[in-house]
Amino acid sequence: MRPIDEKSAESTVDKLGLTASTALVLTGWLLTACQPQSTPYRFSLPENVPLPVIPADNPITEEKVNLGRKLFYDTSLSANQSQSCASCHQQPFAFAEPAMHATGSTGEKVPRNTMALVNVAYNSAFTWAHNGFSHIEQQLMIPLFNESPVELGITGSEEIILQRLSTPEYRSLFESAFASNKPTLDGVVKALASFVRSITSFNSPFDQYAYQGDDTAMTSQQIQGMNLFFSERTECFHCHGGLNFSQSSTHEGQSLILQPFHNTGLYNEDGEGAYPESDQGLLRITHRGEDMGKFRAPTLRNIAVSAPYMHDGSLATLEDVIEFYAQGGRGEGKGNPYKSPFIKGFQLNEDEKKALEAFLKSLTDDTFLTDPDYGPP
Amino acid sequence: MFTRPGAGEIPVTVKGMDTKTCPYEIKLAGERWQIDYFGFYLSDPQVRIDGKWQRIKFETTPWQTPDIALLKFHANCQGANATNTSLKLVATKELMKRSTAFRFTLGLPFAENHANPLTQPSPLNDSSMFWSWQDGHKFLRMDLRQKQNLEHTFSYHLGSIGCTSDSAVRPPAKSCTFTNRVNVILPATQLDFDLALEVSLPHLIMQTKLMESEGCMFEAPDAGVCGRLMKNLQSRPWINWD
Repeated sequence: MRPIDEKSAESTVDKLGLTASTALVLTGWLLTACQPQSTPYRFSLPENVPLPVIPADNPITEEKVNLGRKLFYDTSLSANQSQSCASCHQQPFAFAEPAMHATGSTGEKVPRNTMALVNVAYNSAFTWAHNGFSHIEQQLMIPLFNESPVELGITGSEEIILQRLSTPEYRSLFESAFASNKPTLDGVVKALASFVRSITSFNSPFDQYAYQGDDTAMTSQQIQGMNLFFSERTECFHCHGGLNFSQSSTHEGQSLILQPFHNTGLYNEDGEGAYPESDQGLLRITHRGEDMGKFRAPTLRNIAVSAPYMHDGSLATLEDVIEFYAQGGRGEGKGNPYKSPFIKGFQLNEDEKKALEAFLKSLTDDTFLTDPDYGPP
Repeated sequence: MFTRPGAGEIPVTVKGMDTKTCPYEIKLAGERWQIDYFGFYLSDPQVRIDGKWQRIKFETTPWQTPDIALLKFHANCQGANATNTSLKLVATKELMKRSTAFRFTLGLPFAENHANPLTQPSPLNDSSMFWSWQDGHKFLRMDLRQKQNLEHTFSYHLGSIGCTSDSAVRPPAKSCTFTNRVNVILPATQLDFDLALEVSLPHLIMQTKLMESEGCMFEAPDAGVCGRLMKNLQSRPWINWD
């Protein structure tokens, strides 16, 4: 295709009677006027960490990340202006929140625990239980537009919200990001997705020990816990494996996409495996019996600060979570027929349980939790 | 129309696996089982020509590097299927015709097995087949679930064990106590280049008390179910020409 384009460009130059250099200057000017200021966003990742996969239709730029960050912290994005994304996704809690479940902008209960936003750019699946989303842009539609329950509640208020985003500051940010100063919801989604992708965490003591080779970064108790984590005694790594401690992760060098969902034996309402009507996990999406109570294994990075745990926030502390897996489930849930074969229970003495908990705490990345680039603009 | 694969492509199937259901099912020990996961790594492929073993390469694909390949047979019921059911060798029809045997190793070489998974090429960075730097990859992973009693599962995870290093995320300096690699030699009929392989799970699980046992996950291969499974891999025709 390129030679033909060049040829036609040359003939246009001929027809206009312009010299090649004038044409070049003119082309340059036209490009500047019509294109967004696309400064490619540079992820600051440790040397060994591969880049995330960025969708071709939303290349990540500094300008989109800047706009997305402002939008993320702006309550203008909810219909009644009471909430922003950051109302539930709070940086000190790894962009989760210390509550069993989220509450939408109109006060409606969102049945699930707010998920942490840690290295989401590496996710191969999103939300607690959905197998149909491969990009953040798709997932974002839920908190933005969902009507049952209402989260930000944009549906029906699109025009008002776009009007709110028509300030000179936003117009300038949209102009930089998308070459048009007219705010659009498509732009909102692409910018938010870009900001969320920029939120990365690879500087925990574990990272320093494992990937940067610093033998002193972890305590001996944490190393003991890590060895238990990666052992067949606890089986933790089967579901919480990979670079993000979640099997549903991918990166630029990974061609094989993994998207597993698991039933962990939290419930068994009818003795046949049923989870409570209020949330039956992947089953609600696929309508396949086997998917009863199946949820995505979330990342364990920064897990110590994102309590409470599980999809419904029903376990309060890491200690509770370790005990839950040691028991092989909870109550009747232990006998759930859809339970993952790796959740069989394990025997650890008190010191070992403490070591496992200490290891999970070594996944806390303090620079991430306080990085001003991820905070309010 | 069925298109015959190229000279160096060897389709691999699992004998008796019902692919109309999801998960796929198979009858073993008189019972129906769901195949939740079944995959294994092969490495170091060689063909025997004029009485000498000759190394050949795999084509480079997301499922293969020049020296290793990952086969995966289970359905992904939660999304698009991600199976790989053929080996693609860099080999001409003439070479395959002249070869009198094909051999490979079930498992991965030491260096690749224990390297940083983040910087390894596909399929070595498939985290569902990885254990830890210390112990390396799962060479073979099979997770079965009994259809009539979903609570009962049988898993076989084969990999090197008894590997010593400072911690789970440090590679061992020397070979593990049980490397658990298995060499497989398959005599070939000369002049036959239209090859296909078949995996026989009944041979793989023979005498393992499938109904009572939970299987074998990274345990020493010198006793019990693990010992039996290893013996089957070494001496029974769990993989053969179709």
